[in-house]
Amino acid sequence: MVKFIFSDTDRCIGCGLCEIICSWHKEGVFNPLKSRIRTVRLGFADIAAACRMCEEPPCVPQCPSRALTQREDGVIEVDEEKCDGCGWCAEVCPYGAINIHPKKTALICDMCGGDPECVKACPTDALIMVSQEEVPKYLRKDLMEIELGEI
Amino acid sequence: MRDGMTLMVDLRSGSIHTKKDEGEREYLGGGLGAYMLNKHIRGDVDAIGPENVLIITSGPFAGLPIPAASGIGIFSKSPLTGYFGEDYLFGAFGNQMSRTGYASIVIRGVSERPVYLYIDDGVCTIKRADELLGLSPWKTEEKIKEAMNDQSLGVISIGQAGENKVRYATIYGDFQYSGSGLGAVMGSKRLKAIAIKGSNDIRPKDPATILEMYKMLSKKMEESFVDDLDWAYDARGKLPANNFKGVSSDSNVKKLIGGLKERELKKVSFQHCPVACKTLCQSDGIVSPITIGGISIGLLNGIYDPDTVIKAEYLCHTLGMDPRSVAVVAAFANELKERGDEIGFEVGFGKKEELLKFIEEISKGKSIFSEGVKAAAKKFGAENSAMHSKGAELSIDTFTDENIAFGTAISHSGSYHGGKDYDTSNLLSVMMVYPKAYNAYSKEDLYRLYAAVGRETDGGRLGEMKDKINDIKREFNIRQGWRMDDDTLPQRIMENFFEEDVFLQKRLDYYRSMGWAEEGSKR
Repeated sequence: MVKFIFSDTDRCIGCGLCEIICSWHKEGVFNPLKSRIRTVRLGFADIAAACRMCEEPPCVPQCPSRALTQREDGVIEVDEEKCDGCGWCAEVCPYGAINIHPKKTALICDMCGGDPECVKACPTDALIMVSQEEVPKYLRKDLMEIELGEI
Repeated sequence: MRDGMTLMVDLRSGSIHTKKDEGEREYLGGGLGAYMLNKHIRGDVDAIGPENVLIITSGPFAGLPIPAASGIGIFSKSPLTGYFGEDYLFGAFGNQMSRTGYASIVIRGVSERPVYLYIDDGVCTIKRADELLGLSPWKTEEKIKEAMNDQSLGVISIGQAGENKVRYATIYGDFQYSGSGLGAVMGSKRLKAIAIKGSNDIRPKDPATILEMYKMLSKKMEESFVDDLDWAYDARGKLPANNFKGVSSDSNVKKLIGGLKERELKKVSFQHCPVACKTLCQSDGIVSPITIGGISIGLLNGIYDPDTVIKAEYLCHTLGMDPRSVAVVAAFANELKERGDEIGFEVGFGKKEELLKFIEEISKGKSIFSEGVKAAAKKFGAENSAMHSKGAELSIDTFTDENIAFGTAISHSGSYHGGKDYDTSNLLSVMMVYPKAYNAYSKEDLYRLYAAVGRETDGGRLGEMKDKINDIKREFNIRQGWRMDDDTLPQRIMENFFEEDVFLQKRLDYYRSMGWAEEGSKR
C-alpha cells in the first residue's frame, strides 16, 4: 500500500511550519512558495496537503512537456529540464498538492526518500504517513463545513 | 529586494513611495516602531484626526522557523489613552511582510472613500472598500482573499466598531486582536484592511542554529504554555467579580470555565506558533475564539453562563471591539446602574440579554461608553469605579498577579502582557516574540537567535537599544501631557498588593533603574 503525507485534522493547528521546513530542506531557503507541502484552512479544519501518489495520477498524462513520470514506489518525479512551469499539473491535481516554484518548475513531494523532514518537524505530530483508504479516518469533514459568522 | 525599507502611504493624496532612513537602521522590530512614531508625531495631535499616523513594523524573526515570533507591531497615538499606543499581532501578516522585505509601513492622512491596502511585494495599491463596510473582520478577510484569489494572504482588518471610531476598537488578525484602540485609528483613516503578500526567500546567516533552537524552543513552549482558559481555571479563587469589587467564587469560575471547555470545538494557532494557543468554542451555531477578554466579560459582569460568554466574545470579535475593554466598560455601566444613575441602558450585574444588547449598542460609537471607561467616568463623576490605567481598561490578570499589576501601572500604553521580569519582556516585544512565550525564551536565546539571523549586534548593544526605546516611549508620553500620577492603579487593584508608600517606593526604584528623574521624566 502506497503511503503519503497527510495531516490529522484533530491535531493540525495550522502553524505552517511544515512549509518552511520543506522549502529549507529541498531548496535551501525559507519560503512557503517553494514548499512541496501546503497548508490550508477550510472552514475550521487545518489541513496540510502533499502529493497523494495516486494510482492513476491525473497530473502525469496532462503534462504537455512530458516532464512527469511516476516511479514504482508511487513518487512522481519532475524532470526539471523538461518542465516549463505551465502549471497544468497543479490545475488537475484534485488535492491541490502541487506548487509551482517561482522559477517555474513543478514542486511535488518525494517523501524525502521515505523519512520526510516535515513529519519530523511537525510540533503537534499532526503529520502522518497514511494510505488513501485511511484518509477519512483523519479528516474531520464537520470542521470543514462550519463557517465563520455573518455580518 | 526592499531590504529594510519603509513603505510610505498617504491616504489623502494617494501617494505611495518607499524610502530608507539611516537613523532607523539602529532600531529593529518593536524598537523601530517606537522610534518612528516618536519621530512622526511631535506635537499633541488628535488620535483620530488626519495628523495621527499608523505604523507597522515587522519582527526580525518573522518568516523563519522560530516559535511564535511571526510578529508585527502596530504603533500609533492611542485614541483610548492619548499616549503611546502599541500592540503586537502574530501570524500570516508578519510572515508575508518579512518576505516583502519592508521593515516598516507608515500610513498617514485620511482617505476620502473607504479603502483597503493591497501590498504585493514591491507593488502597493489602494483599493476601494465600499463593499466591505460594516463587515466583520473575518468576513472582510474572506472577501479580500476571494477577490485576490489567494488564501495565503496576510490580512489585518477592522470591524464596525473601528469604522465608528469606538475608542477601544481592535485590529484583528489570525484570531488575535490588538489593544490601545488601534482599530479606531484605522477607522478614522477610512482604512478597512491591509492585505499583504511577499515572495522573497529568507536566508538567515546561520540556519543550523535556528533549526536546532526551533526544536528546543518548541519543546519548551509546549511544556510551559498555558492558554487563557487553563489560566483562569488555575487562578480560580483569586479572580475578580462585579467590576473588581470582589472575588468570583470557586464554584462560579468552575461553572464558567468548565462549561466553556465542554463547548470547545477546536484549538488553533497562528502561523509559526507550535502550540495551539487559542480555543474555539461553539454555542448555538456560533463559533468564537475564547480569550481572557471573553472570560472577563463574564466574571466582571456577574455572568457565569458559558453560552452568554461565547456570544459576548463572538460579538466583540465580529464588531471589532476589544473584549477586555468591553468587559470593564459594561461592568462600570452596571455599577452606575446599581448606584441609581440614569445611563440610558437597562443593564445590571447578571443580566445576560441586556449585556449583549449593550455590546451591540456601544459598537455604534454614539454612546459615551464608546469612548472608554475613563471618559464615561468623567461624565458620570464616578472615577473611583472606573477600572483603567491611563485610560486603558484593565485586564483581569492585574487583579491576580502583582507583577502584571505593577507592569501595567508603569507601562506606556496602560497595559502589560509580559512576565515577571520586565527587562526580558521588553526584549521579547522588541524582537516581536509572542508575549505568552515568555517562559520558553531566555534572554540568551534571543541574543543567540538574533546573531543567527545575521544582524551585527551583540547583546550589550541590544540591551542599550532596549533601554533607549523605553526612554523614547516615555519622551513621547511626556510630550502628550503625561504626569507621574498617570503611573498608578485604581484602588481596587492597589489594595490587593501594595500599601501606598510601598507602591510609591517601588515606582521610584523602577524610575531610578531606568535612569529617569524622580518625577519619572527623562533625565
